[in-house]
Parts: sequence; C-alpha cells; structure tokens
Amino acid sequence: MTNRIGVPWIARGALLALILWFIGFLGLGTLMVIWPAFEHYLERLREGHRVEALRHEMQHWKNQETALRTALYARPASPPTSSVADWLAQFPPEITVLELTVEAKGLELTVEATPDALWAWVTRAMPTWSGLSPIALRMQGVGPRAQLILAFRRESLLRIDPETDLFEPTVLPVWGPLSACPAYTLTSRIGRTAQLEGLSGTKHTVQVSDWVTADWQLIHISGRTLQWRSRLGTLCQSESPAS
Amino acid sequence: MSALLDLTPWRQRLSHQRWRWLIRGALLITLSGFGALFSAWMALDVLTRLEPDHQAEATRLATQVTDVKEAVARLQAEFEDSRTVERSRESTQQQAIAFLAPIQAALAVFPTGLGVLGIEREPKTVRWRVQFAHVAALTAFERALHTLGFASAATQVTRQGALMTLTVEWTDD
Repeated sequence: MTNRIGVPWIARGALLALILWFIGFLGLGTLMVIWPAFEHYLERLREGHRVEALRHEMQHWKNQETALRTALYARPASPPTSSVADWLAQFPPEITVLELTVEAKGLELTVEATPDALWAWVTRAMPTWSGLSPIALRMQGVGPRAQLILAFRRESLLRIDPETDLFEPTVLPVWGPLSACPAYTLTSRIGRTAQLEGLSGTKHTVQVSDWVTADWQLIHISGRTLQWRSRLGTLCQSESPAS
Repeated sequence: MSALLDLTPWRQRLSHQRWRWLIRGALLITLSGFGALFSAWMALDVLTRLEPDHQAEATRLATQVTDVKEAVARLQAEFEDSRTVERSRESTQQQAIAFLAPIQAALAVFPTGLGVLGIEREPKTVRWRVQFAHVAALTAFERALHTLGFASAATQVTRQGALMTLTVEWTDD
C-alpha cells in the first residue's frame, strides 16, 4: 500500500480529471451537436414511415370510396321528393280528380273514370307512391263511370317511384247495377231485323242478339213480345201494346 | 523531525509534471473529441441527406386523406339516405300490395253471373256489394273467397225483383 500523504492533489487526481473531462466533453458535445443531428435523422425516418402509413390509409379510404360509389351506382336512383301538386300532375288524363282533401297527417282523394281504367290505374300507380300508406278504399258508381275514394296516411316525404307492374292486369267484372227491363215497343219486323220505339218516341232498328242498351241484349221476338237477357244472365220480357 | 527528508522539490517537480501531463491529455482528449464529434455529426448529416425528405409529401398525403375521408363520409350519408328511401319504397310497395291484393285476387276469380256494385276496403276488411242473377254465382263467389283465405263476417242479401244484392264483409286475417 502506497503512502499517499504529501502527494499533491494533481498527482492523485490527474487521471480522474482526464476521465471526467473526457466524459464531460463528449457528453456535452453529444448533447449539443450529435443529439440534434440524430433527432433530425430520426425525424426523417419517422416521416418516411408516416408517409407509408398515409399511403396505406389513403388506399383504404379510396377502396371504401370505390365500394360505396359502386354500391350507389348499382342502386336505382332515388326519385326526388314531390309535392301534392306534382303527384296530381302525373295522373293519367283519363282519370278525373273530383276532390282532394289534405290534412296534416293524411289525405283523401276522389277520382272518377271508367271502372276498368280506374282499377288498372290504381293497381299500377298506388305501389309507386312512397310516403302514402293506404287506409281505406271505396269504389262505387253507376253506369260507365265509377268513383274511387282513397284515404291515405302521410308518413314521410312524398316520392313518386317509377312504375312497375306488380299485379296481373285484371278486367273488372260487370260493373254497376242493372237498369230496369227495357221498355221498347215493337213497331215493325222483317226476319231478324226489328224496329223498336222507345218511350221518348225515338226509333231504333236492331237485330235479334244486338245489345240494345249497355245492360240488355235482345234475344228473341215472339209475336209482340220482346225477350231480353241482361249482362248478368237474367231474363225479362216486355210486351208491346196492341195497336 | 529534522531527520525527515525535505520533499518539497520532489513535490514541486511531480506537480509540475502532472500539470503538463494533464494539459496535454486534456488537449488530446479535446482534439480527438472534436474529431470524433465532427465525424459523427458528418456521418449523421450524410445519412440524413441520403434519406429523402418526405415532409411535403406527408403534408400533401394528409390533405388528400382528409379530402377522401370527407368524400367517403358524404357518400356514406348519401348511401344511408338512399337506403332509407329504398326501405320506404319497399314498405310502400308492400303496404299497397297487401291493401290491393285481396281485391285483386277476388276479381281474378269473379264468377260470371255476378256484377259489382261497390268495393270497400278498410285496414282489415273488404266489403263487396254484388248483384247476382242466380244463387250458383253467389255460391261460387263465396267458395272462391273462402279458398283465398277470407273469413266471412256478415252477409246481407236484398231481393230486388229478379236480382238480389249481396253485401258481404270479409276479413283478411
């Protein structure tokens, strides 16, 4: 063991001082020069990774955009919202609007046309009225015209979709009440041709088996008796008074 | 105590040598440290310069991603809207079909000898007013409605001469 008493501090601590200087100098230099440069370099690398991540994200969003566009184009275009006036404007000309009552939560429509046209129209058009839920229908009428009264509940914005035939076309059966047995008088007859005179004095020349009115068909003439068959198949006969 | 050696000159010499050694060492460390630091800095600078600068591209891409995200959000909203409209359209169609189908089905099987006077449709019932010439037609009509799944609730027959008028209320449960 060396007796170090009397040895100057410089002799004892020179090596330590050099080591400390070495550490301090390099530490300070690293902190002030190398570390910022290294940070700068790391920042560049980080940006590179960020760009790569952004490219992936971009690709992901672009794919999603393409998928959404494809899905949207594949879907039929939604018709624009319509007002009640637009709705009425697209009714066919053979349908006559008699009355329209619009309330806050519903509307009632009365239209008139021939029964066949009316039924064909309602079966074709009603499924295309988005936003109107039918709650009641009444079809009534006499003769060649019929009235259709439709009540709807308005649930959302009214849209008119393109028409598609959802129902098989159906011809309405015999429509309206039968008129009374025709009151014609036989004025003359040659074979199957007969001349008939109505109550108003008008004369008609008809053949047996002709439909003299919309409801009645002349089926037989026996003496002065005219025999008729209705469109429902009922029979009646009218006697001509003896002249 | 006088017998002890005078160590002062030795101490001074030693101290002097050590100071010189220390200064030289410090200089050496400083110079080599500078060199090392410079070399390291140079190396890092070269590496940094070799790495392409992505800042502008990153900014551009970030803007583009934001734009595409907004477009996707818009499209998604549009898609949702169209789905809502589609659902409403389907619902309307189904309601209209459910509402008209019973009448349509009955009209398709309407027998001859039967005439329609009126049709009334309410949420759960269909009321027919028909005129018939013979009972067979009425029976055929009632049978056809039963076959279609209707249940008769009330029947009212009125005789008018040779014709009879039937009011039948049918539920379509």
